[in-house]
Amino acid sequence: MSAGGSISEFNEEDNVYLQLCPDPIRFEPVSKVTNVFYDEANQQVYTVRSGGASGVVVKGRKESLNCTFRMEDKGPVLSIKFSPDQKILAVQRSSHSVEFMNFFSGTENLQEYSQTCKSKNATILGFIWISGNEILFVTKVGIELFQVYPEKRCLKYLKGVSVYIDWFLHSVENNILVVSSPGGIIQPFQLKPGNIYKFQKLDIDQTTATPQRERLNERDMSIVSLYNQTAVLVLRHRPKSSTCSGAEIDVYPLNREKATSKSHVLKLDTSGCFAINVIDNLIIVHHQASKASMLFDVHLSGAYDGYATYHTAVVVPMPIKQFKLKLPTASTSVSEASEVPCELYSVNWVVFPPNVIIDAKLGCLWFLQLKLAPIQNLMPDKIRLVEFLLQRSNGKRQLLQLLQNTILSPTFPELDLVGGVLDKLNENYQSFLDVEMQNQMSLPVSGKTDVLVPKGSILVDQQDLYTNIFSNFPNCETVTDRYIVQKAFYQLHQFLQNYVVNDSKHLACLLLSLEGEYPAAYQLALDMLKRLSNANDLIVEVLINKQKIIPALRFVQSCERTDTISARKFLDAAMRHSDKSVFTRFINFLKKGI
Amino acid sequence: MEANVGVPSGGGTRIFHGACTIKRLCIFNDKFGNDSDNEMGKVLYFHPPNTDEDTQLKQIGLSEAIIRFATKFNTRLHCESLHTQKTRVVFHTPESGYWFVLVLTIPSVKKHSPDGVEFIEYLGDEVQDDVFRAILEKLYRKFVLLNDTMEGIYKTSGLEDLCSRLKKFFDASIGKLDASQCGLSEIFTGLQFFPLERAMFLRIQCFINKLLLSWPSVKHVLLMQGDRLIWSGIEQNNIQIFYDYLVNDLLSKHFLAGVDKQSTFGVICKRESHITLLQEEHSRRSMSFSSLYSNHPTNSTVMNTSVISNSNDADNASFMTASTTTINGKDEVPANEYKKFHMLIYKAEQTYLTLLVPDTEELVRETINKLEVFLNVNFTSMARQLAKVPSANSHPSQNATSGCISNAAIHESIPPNVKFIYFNSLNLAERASPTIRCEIDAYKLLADLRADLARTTESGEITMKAISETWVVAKTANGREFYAIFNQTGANVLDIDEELRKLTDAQLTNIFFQD
Repeated sequence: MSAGGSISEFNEEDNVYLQLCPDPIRFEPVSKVTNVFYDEANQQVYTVRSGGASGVVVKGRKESLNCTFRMEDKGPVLSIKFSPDQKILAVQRSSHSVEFMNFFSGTENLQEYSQTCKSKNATILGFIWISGNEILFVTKVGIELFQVYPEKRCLKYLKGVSVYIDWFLHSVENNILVVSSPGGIIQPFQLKPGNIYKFQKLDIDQTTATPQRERLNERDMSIVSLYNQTAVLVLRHRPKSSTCSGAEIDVYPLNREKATSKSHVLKLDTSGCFAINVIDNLIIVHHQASKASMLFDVHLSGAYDGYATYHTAVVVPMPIKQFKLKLPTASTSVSEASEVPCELYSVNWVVFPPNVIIDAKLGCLWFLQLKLAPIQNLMPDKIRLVEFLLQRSNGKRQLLQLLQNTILSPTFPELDLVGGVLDKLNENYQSFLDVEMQNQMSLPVSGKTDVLVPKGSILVDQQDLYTNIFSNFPNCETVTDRYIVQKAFYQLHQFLQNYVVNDSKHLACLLLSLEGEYPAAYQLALDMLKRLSNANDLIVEVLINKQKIIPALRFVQSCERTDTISARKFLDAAMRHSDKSVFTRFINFLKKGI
Repeated sequence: MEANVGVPSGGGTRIFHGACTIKRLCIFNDKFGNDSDNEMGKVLYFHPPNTDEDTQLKQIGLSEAIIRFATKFNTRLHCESLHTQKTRVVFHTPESGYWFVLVLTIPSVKKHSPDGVEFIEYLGDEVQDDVFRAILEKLYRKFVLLNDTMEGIYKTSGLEDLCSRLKKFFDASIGKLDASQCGLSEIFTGLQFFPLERAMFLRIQCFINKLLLSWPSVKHVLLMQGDRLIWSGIEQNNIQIFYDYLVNDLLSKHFLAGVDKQSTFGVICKRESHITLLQEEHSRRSMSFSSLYSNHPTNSTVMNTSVISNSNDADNASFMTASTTTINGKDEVPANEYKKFHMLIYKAEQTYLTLLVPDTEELVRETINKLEVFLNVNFTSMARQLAKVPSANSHPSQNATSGCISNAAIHESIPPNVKFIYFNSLNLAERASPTIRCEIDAYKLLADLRADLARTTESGEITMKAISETWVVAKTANGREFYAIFNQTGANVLDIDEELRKLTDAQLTNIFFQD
């Protein structure tokens, strides 16, 4: 409730939700003799000095991914990538061939072996490691899959697909290749070891294209993974004007069965130069001109026009948090001056999916990080905030805190808000339950059934709510108790009639105790015991207490449990019964039974 | 506890001669006509209206004589009915000194004796005292609901007003009553519930609680889906007659017919009138459930139906002052206090929302407008959700407890030759095969069986076969009553027992209903 007020009142620093990781990977900056390469697949940076002759330095996220070696300078390197298991290095120096070096026997005396592309005179645009010993060449006229035999130091052609290619994109996470063919055709492929599957091509929305059929540019396209689905993002440049709200990003989730068409549109509300990162299924769009980043979530609701959902930024655009780079302690005097602020959104920045930002001039590789806490203050609509947090993999703590603030607020809580928030949690919980049900039923291979997917990324269950919220109420009392205290028995009756409260022996006994005040409680209690099905003994007790000896006996008979009855109990009760014939009848029953 | 009774056959050819009809209904109180020059003063109401004064006085005089005569035998209980060959007289005294006397003609058939002589046989057994006593009580309670107690009206606005109100109400009511069709349902006057799944029910609770919280002047809320009850915030002793009034008088006549067409959006209907409800201080005394519902009337002279968009002028409800009345003072019944309410009914989709506001509260147009804004937002969305709930509810297991089952479901699960009627006296739920009155002879018999069962201990069962080969079973246990009619030629008592078991298994699941 403290989040009132306009944006301007916020302390900017507190509301910055993006930051660069504090310990960037440092590498030698690009210079005349030094080339720098980044491999998305292994998240490694290669610094190649003098074509490798004066050394290649590889740095990765983990220590095990770092290495240094020398190789012969056979001309400028175009591309360089280790295989996923770091055992084979592939280097491309010409447009016709790729060279390989085995690293499993040390980094000394590296012998190269080479593979030219299958199609004669084709130009290799690039290559992709598909597994430890399979590599894919992407040429201007097709894609070619090779098996690498490192011991034999040779490669074998496996298969290929002919297609004219201008440029290509590769998603590491789901191993999806997207190629752009002349004429603006975008064709995705699924890459699997030994196999290449073709998707239906993208149904690029031409209506929003500029009249002269804009050629899709490699820079305006990226391939990301959103909510377990690979999606192609296409940036549509449009100058912001009175009639146009500026650039847009179209989201095309890839679909193997049918043609992929755009399902979401992100309205950037500005124009210029953009770069895209994805963190935790959130699309982050950096805008260079304004030096700010926008946040989009395709799972939040937006305006729907029958084809696509239109999203605006989740919260106001904010810059990335100021970053101070620690200078290497080259100077002997270690002082505060060794920290220099970095230029953010610099022209030297190169942004890679999912969340990598590289400043080649500075020699830094950062991983972008998202902080959820500031977003809470920036979203005034708390119900939307709950939806948002439910989708975040680490949103649970924030969510529970939000709930505590809302429900346990010292002033009277806003019931509407509490209701809305709990509705959202229930919806989410239900989706998880449905998925679980479906898994348990383990449907046969009827391909038709849609596989259910839980709505949120996190689950807030009863236990969470109880521990964090309800246990904080000083006098925890139930609806039932409330009605009993108020003596609103008929209302209680209607509650039970609709099975709002689960049946239990405890509740049945409570009802029995109310009979004096509300006669119908007796009926409710017996009905409940009957439904419980494990409370038949209790029913007999109740009936005997009511001096209903014969009905009790009949009930036992109907359950076929006459051999288990306590004759003593019945006899005692029958003796006390005002109608002496009851006793006689019971004796007769016993005789017959024996 | 089983008894098999065969109905003796009458034999001979029967030709319909006369049906059971209402011959007379008079209401009198002799305290108003003591002096000899104003004898007519004690006659508060007389039906048929064109009866001459002399006959009226004679009839009332006769009734008074019978009542007095009966008190010689029992000073605590009054005379309930008088059986003659051609008529049946039912007495009812809901307020001290006020007497209702209903005279019915006995249905009759023409017969030929073995030697060919034609004679008329009167079938006195076809008219049940219980049924008509229940009808009188119901009429009285509805009168109170819409007006006030008779004594109350007399004290506040005089004898003349009392007479004119009685005339207005009873003339209309008697016109609607077909005495030959009356039976068990008139005794029950049960409620039809609309069962909901937990989440929806709680949603509605939320709405109602929010409404009560935001509008503290609203005292009671009643929610209905079509003619079925979802939630009653009215105490149990008042709900039966109020529900009957809503479903049979208000909603069917005006709401459903007239305004329905415009129900495409929003909250559309509204009435303002005055309802008088009994505020019972000691609800625990309501042990005998049928005797204590005394309700209070509304001033039904003003009932505007207006569409909300042009309802600015709908404020002409006349405000009645609150009155406190004690009835049945001579009995041990605690002093009953009556409270008067303004009533507002709103409709969206098929959902009706009834609000009762004590008439001590100022109900001004401004408040109502604000309330309607609130409802437009909250009530309409809920009604839309309710409209999606299938009427043949997804809760088959729930039918028995809440006593609801859609007519469609009855048709599906029950063979056409079986009819039943079920009533739970503890939550007042009733349900019946829609065509139960087609078996009118057997249906009328049910009231007799009920009376028979009432004499036994609290549970029991009667199976019987009529001359028409129709089997009738009545069963009662644990506050519930179940009656079934089997049109099954050639069946024996074992077959019927089996059929009954099947029927109760299907209809009364999940409850403890034991013989």
